[in-house]
Amino acid sequence: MMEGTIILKSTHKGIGGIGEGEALVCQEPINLMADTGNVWEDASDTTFTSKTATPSVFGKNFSGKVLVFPTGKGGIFSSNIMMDVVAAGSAPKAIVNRRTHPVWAFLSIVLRIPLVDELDQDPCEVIKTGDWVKVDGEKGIVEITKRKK
Amino acid sequence: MDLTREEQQMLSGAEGEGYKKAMEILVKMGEYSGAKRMVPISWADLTTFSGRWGGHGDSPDNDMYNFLRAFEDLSLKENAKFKCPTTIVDASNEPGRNERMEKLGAKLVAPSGGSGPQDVFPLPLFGQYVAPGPTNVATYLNSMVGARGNNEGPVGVHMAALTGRIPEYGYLLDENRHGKVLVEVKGQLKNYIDWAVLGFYISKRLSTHYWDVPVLTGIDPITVTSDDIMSFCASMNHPGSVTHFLIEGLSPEAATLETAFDGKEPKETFIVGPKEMKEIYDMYAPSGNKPDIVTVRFPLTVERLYEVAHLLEGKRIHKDVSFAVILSNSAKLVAERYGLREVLESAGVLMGDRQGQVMWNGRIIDPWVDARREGIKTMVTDSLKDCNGVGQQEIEVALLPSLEAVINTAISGKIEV
Amino acid sequence: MDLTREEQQMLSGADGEGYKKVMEILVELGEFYKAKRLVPVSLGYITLGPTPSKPGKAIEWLEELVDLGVTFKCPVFVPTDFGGRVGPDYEINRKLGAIFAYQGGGHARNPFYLPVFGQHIIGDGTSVTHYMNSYIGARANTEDFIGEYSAAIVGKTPEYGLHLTENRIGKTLFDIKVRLKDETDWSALGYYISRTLGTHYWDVPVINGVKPDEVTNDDLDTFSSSVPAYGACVHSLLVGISPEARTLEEAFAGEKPKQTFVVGSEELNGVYKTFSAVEEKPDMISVGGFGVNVSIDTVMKLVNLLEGKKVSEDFPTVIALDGPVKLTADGMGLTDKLRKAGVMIGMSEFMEAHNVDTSNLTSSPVMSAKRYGLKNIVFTDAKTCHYIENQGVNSVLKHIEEAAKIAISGRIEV
Repeated sequence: MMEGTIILKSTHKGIGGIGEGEALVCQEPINLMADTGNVWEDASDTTFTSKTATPSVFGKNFSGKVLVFPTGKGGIFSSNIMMDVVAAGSAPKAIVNRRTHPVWAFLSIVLRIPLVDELDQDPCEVIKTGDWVKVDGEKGIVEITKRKK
Repeated sequence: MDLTREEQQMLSGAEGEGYKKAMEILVKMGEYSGAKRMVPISWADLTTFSGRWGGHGDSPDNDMYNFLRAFEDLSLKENAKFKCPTTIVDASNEPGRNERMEKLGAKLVAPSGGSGPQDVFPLPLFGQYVAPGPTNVATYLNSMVGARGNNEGPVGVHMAALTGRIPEYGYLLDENRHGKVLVEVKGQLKNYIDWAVLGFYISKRLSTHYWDVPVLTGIDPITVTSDDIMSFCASMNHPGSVTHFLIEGLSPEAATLETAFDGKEPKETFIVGPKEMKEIYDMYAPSGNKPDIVTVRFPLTVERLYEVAHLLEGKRIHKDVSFAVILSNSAKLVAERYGLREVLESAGVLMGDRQGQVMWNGRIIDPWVDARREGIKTMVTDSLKDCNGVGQQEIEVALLPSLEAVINTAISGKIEV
Repeated sequence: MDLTREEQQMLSGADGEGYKKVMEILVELGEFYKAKRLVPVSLGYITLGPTPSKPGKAIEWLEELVDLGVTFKCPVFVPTDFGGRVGPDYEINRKLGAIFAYQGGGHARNPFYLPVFGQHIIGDGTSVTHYMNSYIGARANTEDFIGEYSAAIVGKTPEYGLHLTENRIGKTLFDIKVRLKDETDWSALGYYISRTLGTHYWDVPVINGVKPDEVTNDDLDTFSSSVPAYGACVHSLLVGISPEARTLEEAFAGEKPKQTFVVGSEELNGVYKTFSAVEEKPDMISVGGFGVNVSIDTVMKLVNLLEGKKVSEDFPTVIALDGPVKLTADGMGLTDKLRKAGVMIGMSEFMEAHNVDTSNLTSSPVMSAKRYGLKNIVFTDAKTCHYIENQGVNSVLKHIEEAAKIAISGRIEV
């Protein structure tokens, strides 16, 4: 049963157009190089495989989801990996950050993944895994439809 | 001088004769220069002293050599070691030398490494005290890294390496590192040869009061390369002896002019622009005679290696010209990996072993010493140091204004500017 | 953003489709980060890195760009790839006008070409970027290959992040109360700092309490590889060493730190505890690892520790020896000594021993541990420990002395 819609507004325009889907909320910063270990065997497998780095989403994958996380971290290879992930059909629907790391900004620009950050509330607190999220990169808006469990 | 407990211990002989003698020398040096105390050093470079004092011509029997050799023997006997990271250039042409130095704890700089900062293991850090070897390295470390070192000479450096200490005088002190003279640089510095000419002019101008640290202004950081800086450091020591300079906006101790001068007014100001640079170029301009030897003096860095390979593509060195280059270590690795060595060799470029050497009549010679004897009349170079050094042999040595001019001259066999 | 006439021209397509494409990317990014303008870059270190599929979409994207006829506008240094083979990006880089230089990727150890203080540059991944920012005072952000190539092709980058002075000032203080003994300790410190900062890595950490004569360039290089690992900190200030932090006061520009953390032996040991052994027998010992090459000091130490002995035959002991350091080690006869003791030189030797194609970086054991059945690996640096964990590997962090002991005895003391 659907319940209530929350709207978060950014202080600035985001990247890309509109993307929506089920949210996967990660509380830790993400680096695809360090955190998704299966891509090297299968580029479509976006499972988070590190218990110590991203415990909040360990075992879950972000394919077809709206990936919500505080920011990127670490090295610069998230883009290399994401390009192949997108080509393998496992792209996320959109990205929401507290504050976007340049690597993720660049990959979103080139891969046209809708992305928004610097919202008036902390998306990692407000959005819960399973919520339906619509991201509008043009307008810098995130619409959250809470799903009652 | 205020000595620490460790220093006193070494001086007392408790750790052996070697350390005692070394400390005695350092204490004498310290007292002579008014130092209040010693400081620990992070690195000592014995590179200048590889068994041949002066670096040109073999002189294995001179006093300095024998003195230091005896010191090494003493240390080896006492099983003493250098107390700080110490580097030395590979001298495997001298049997047993490398093993001796290793026993003393020295690290070999990559075999036949040049004397540029890019060959240094380990690179010192800002604020560290060091005992550098070659003068251009000392200048680079002071001015561009912000490490602190004087030009001690082989004996001083050896003592410092052994004890891990140096008296705190000269450029180790804040007040001696502040700028004193303002140099306004006008016009564009096009390449590393322009930078060498700039350095030459400044060090010549400062002449006998080279400790008045010059502060350069008017240089845009954007296009400066480390090759430029290295070239500048080399000629700041030739003819002059500038061990520390500051470039506004580039040197870590000179983010602003105010900081560089520690808030004080410069003692002197002078301008170096196209007119002043031309004076130097004119001094060493080629007369037009066909060159016998064309040389690129310093070991090619990776960037210059690519430039040379590019200029030589599909061409050959003129049959009457002898042209040799030496490669820095990184350039060597790259040349091998990417086939650039073949490119150079098939163009007729000779690959030298050691800096300053050239090939002549199928032999390796040192033009600084052998030019006249060998019947060489004209040499063309990218290096002011050569102009002065080889010029003493009373042959014509001319400076060309760019690497491109040097290569083109080597190809056509006549002066190309 | 305020664009110059040339920049507008490039953006309009007047210089060709290729330049237009990359300018669009830079402008979109600049506007996203509220940059006021673009600034010229003086040099770039670029690494493409591995791709899950071969050759990978990243390569295709770059090839399309190259086909549009663009070239680099500033000196660009591209390291030869890991394992010593020419990678799939070789042709691309050659056409763009890159300078290939032996570096081994991902670290600043004795690079052939240094920027100078105050220059805007393009950093290669995180450890080189951190090193150039913190200890040379050049200015670089962490960007991916898209950002790096775009900026190098235009010769400019948006003035955001660490290109701006206000973002380079210290915000968080780390008071060091423990003596950092060696590179491994420094790598542990870097990991600790990056974990502590977490997502606040824009709060530039200031490290105080280390005397200049207690640290070497090698330490800082290893530190630079691990301090961005858990977060994304590519600029820190080491009081007394960093040119922008000659004093504590200067590091913070006269302000008070937002937060202060004390780093004592407990905190440092905590990192070692995080990467500790669960079983006695390691599957491999690796000195150096992912993007962390060893220093000549480490090589010399290892040679001394293994003098007259041989490593266990139950598992491989590998040393990530490469580039100028390897050249020196070769010249000093150290490489031979290590071989005599049974140490494998470079991951490529390990791969060859398993009949794995060494040109495929992602088949290296630190990227694909599963392939070799590796579960329990001893490393001498914290960055590799962190990076390899996601492959279901138990990483164990040890000092070189302990690693050598384990190599000889064949067992870890759990």
